[in-house]
Amino acid sequence: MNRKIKALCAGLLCLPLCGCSWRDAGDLSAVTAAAIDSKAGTYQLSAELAVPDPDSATPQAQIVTGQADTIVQAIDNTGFGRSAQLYWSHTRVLFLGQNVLRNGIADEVQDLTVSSEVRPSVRVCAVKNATAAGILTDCISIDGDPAGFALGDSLDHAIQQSQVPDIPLYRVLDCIETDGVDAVLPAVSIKEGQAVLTGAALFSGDALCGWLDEQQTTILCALLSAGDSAIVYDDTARYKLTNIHTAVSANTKEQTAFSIQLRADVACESSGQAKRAASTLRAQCTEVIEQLQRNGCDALGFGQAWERADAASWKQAADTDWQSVPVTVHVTLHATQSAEGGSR
Amino acid sequence: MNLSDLQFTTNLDENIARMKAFFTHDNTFICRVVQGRGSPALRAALFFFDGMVESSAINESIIKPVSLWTGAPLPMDAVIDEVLHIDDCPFDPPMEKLLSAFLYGDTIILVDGDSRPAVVNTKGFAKRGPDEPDNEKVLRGPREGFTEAFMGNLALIRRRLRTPHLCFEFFEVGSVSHTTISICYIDGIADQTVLEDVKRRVQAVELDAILDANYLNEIIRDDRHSPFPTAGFTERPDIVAAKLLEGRIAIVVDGTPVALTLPHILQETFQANDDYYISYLYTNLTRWLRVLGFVLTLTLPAIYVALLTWHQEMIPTRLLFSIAASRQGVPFTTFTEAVGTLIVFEILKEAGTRTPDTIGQALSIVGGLVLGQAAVDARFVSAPMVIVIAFSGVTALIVPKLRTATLVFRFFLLVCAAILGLYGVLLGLGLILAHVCGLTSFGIPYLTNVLSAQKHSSRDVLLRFPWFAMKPDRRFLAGWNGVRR
Repeated sequence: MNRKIKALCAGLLCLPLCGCSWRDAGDLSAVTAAAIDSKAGTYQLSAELAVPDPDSATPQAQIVTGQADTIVQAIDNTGFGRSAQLYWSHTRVLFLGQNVLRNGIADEVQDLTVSSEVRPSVRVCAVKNATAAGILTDCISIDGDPAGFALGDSLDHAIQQSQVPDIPLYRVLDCIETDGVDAVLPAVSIKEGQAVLTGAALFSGDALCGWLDEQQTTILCALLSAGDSAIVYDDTARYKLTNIHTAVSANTKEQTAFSIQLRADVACESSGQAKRAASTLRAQCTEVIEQLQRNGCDALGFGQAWERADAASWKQAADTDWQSVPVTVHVTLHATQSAEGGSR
Repeated sequence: MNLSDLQFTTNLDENIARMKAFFTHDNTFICRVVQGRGSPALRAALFFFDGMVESSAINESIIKPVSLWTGAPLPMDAVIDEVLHIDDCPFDPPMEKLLSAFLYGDTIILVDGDSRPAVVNTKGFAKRGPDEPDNEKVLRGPREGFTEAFMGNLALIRRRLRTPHLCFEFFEVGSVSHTTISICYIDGIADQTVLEDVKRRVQAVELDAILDANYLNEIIRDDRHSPFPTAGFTERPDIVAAKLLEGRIAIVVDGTPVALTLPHILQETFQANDDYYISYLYTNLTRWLRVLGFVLTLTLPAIYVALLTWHQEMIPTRLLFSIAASRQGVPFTTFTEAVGTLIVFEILKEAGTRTPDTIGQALSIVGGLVLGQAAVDARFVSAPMVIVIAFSGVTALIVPKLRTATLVFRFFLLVCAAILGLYGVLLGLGLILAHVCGLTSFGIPYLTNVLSAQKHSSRDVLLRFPWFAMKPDRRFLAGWNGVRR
C-alpha cells in the first residue's frame, strides 16, 4: 500500500481520539448550574439555562426540570423536548439537596462522573435548610446574572480566599472510593432571598454527618492547606497565613495519639503578635478537629496516618476508634512583613 | 513578406518603396528623405517610428548634417565617419539585429548607391521618473523605484554598486515580443550553480511574449503550483542591490518596473524593505509581529470556527454567552458565516485595489463600516465573526509577500476546522508545514536558515543583528564561493 494512503488511514484512525462532535454554538443551551433533589426514590434535576439576550450583556435565566429514578435518566429527561441541546460543559456548580446528602451520595457522584454530559471538574455544593432547586428558583439574581451562575462566581472567589474547601466532583468521588479521607463540601443556604455560603458540610463515608460554620470552615481550610493561604480571626485581629504546611502523624508506641503540625507565615508586626496568633489558631484548630471527630468525618486523613505508623493496629481498630484518639495540635507561625500595610 | 527577408539594394527609391510597402498599415512608420547641397547631392533616407524616437537627435545629428553636406555622395561607412554627428551607430549589422533595433526606436539610414544600412540610436519614447513604488513604501531610506525603461533600471542598480564585478547579461525572450531581459549578479559573490541554473531556465523559455516579470516567474520558478512565492519581486533598486550583495541573482525585464530576485526563501517574506534602514531593535520587534500576524491571519478564523462548533467547553463562559447572544437570529452555521464573511472581505479588498484612490477610500468606508454594521444589524452575520475576519484581514496586510498563501491556506484551514475541529487545524498546519519543507528555490531549500541554522546568515533571520555585528561575507549565499572580493 502506498505510504501516503497508510499515513492518511493512520490519521483517520486518530479521529476518534479527539472525542468531539459537531455542535454549532447556536444549537446549544448552556447549563450554568444544576440542582439535584430526591423524594421517595425519585431524583429531580433542575438545570439553570443561560438564554442569550441580544439586547443585554448578561443572559436570562431559565429553569428546566426533569425527573427519573436515576441521575443519568434525569439528565436526559431535563433536555427532552427542547429545541436546543442542553450543554453541560459550562456548568459551574452542582447543588445537592439534603435528602440526597443524607441518603448517601456515592451512587449519584458515580453516575455524574461517568456521565459524558457533566464535567468532572464541576464544583459541588451542599444545600443547608432548603431544597437544592430552591437555590435556583427562589434566590434573587445578582447583577443580572442567573443566580446559580453568580453563586458559582462567589464560590470561586471563596475558594481563592481559602474560605471554603475546593473539592470538585472528581475529588468527591476520590474521597468516597479511594482516598481514605472523607469529603467536605461547601455549604449554601438561603438567607433573605439570597443564596449565601454558610460553611461546610461534613461527610462520613458518603453520607452527610454534620456542618461547620464559616469560621470553622476557614480553619479547616488552613488545616487542609487549601489554597496555601488562609485568613483567621481572633477577637481583636485578622491574620493572613501564607505558605501553610500541615503534617498529620500518628504515635502508636504506647497509647495511640495523633499530632498535627501546622507551619505557616503570618503577616504581622512582631514575633509576639505571631505567638498570640499561634495560640489562638491552636485553640481554633483543636475545636474544629474535635468537631470532626464528634461527627465521624476524617477529612484530615487520621486513618491514613495511623496506617502509615502501624498498619497492624490500624487493621484491628474499628472504624470509629479514631474518633476517641487524642489529637495534639502544634502551630508554628513565622512573622513576616505584612504585604497589606500591617495588621492595624 | 517576412521582415527578416527584407534585402536592400543600391537603389534608394527602390528601398524606400519596399519599406513603405511593408509598413503600409502602420501609420506611425515615417520615411524621411534628406538631400545634401552638393552636386551631385548626397541622398539619404531615414526610417523610424513616430513616438519611439527623440526628434532632436534625428534633427541635429542626422538631418542637419546631411542637408548641409556640400560634398559629393559618399558610401554609408563614409557618411557615418564624415557626415553624421552620432556616437552609437552600428554599420551594416545583421538584418535580424537591425530590425530589432529599428522596432525598438532606432533609426535606419540608407544612402543612394549603397545597400548597406546604418542604425542610429535615437530611442526616445516616453518614460516616467523613478518614483517610489506604491507597493513598497518605506519609512526611511531611498525613494527611487524602477520604471518601465530597461536601461534606466540597470543604471539605477549600477549607481548603487560601483564595482567592476557587477554583471548584466542580456537575453532575448519571446518569439514575438523579443523582450530583452538582463540577468544581474556580482561575479565572485553569486553562487555559480544557481547562476547556471537560472541561465538555463531562462534560455529554455518558450513563449511568444514576455510583458512582465511574472511571465518569467511562473515558467522558471520551482514548485510552480505552490501558493508560496519561490521567486522574489521588487520594484526597488536598493533591494536588488542588497540581494545581489547577498549572492542572489536579479532578472530585470524590459518594459516592467518589477525585477525578479532569485533564489527566494521563506525568511525573505518576513523582511520589510526598511528593515535595514531603521533601528535594529524596532526592526526585530516588527519582524516578530509579522510572523505573529501571519500565524494569526491563517489560523484565527479556523480556530474560531473550531471552538464554536467543536470545542465550546474551551471558551470562557462569559465569552460564550456574549457570542451566543450576538449569534441570536443569524440563520447560518458558524462555518457558513465564516466562509461568507471571508468572501465578502476578499471582494471588498479586491474592489478597493482595482478602484482609483479617491473612490477606494469611500469604498473602504462603505464596505468596512456601513456594510459591516448593516450586516450585523440585519443578523446576516454576528459581530464577533466580523471582528475575527476583520482582524484576520488586517493582519494579512502586514505580510504582503504571502498574500496568495494567506488566501489559499486560510480557506483550507477553515475547512479543516469545520471537519475536524482543532484536531483538523493542527492536521492542516502540519500539512502546510510539510509542503513548505518540501519547497526549494533554484535548488536552495525554502526553509534555509529557519530550520537549518546556518552560520552563514544566521544573523539576519528571526533577528536582524546591528550592522556592526553583521559579517558581509556571511550573508546568505555570499560566502559560499569562498572569499568575497
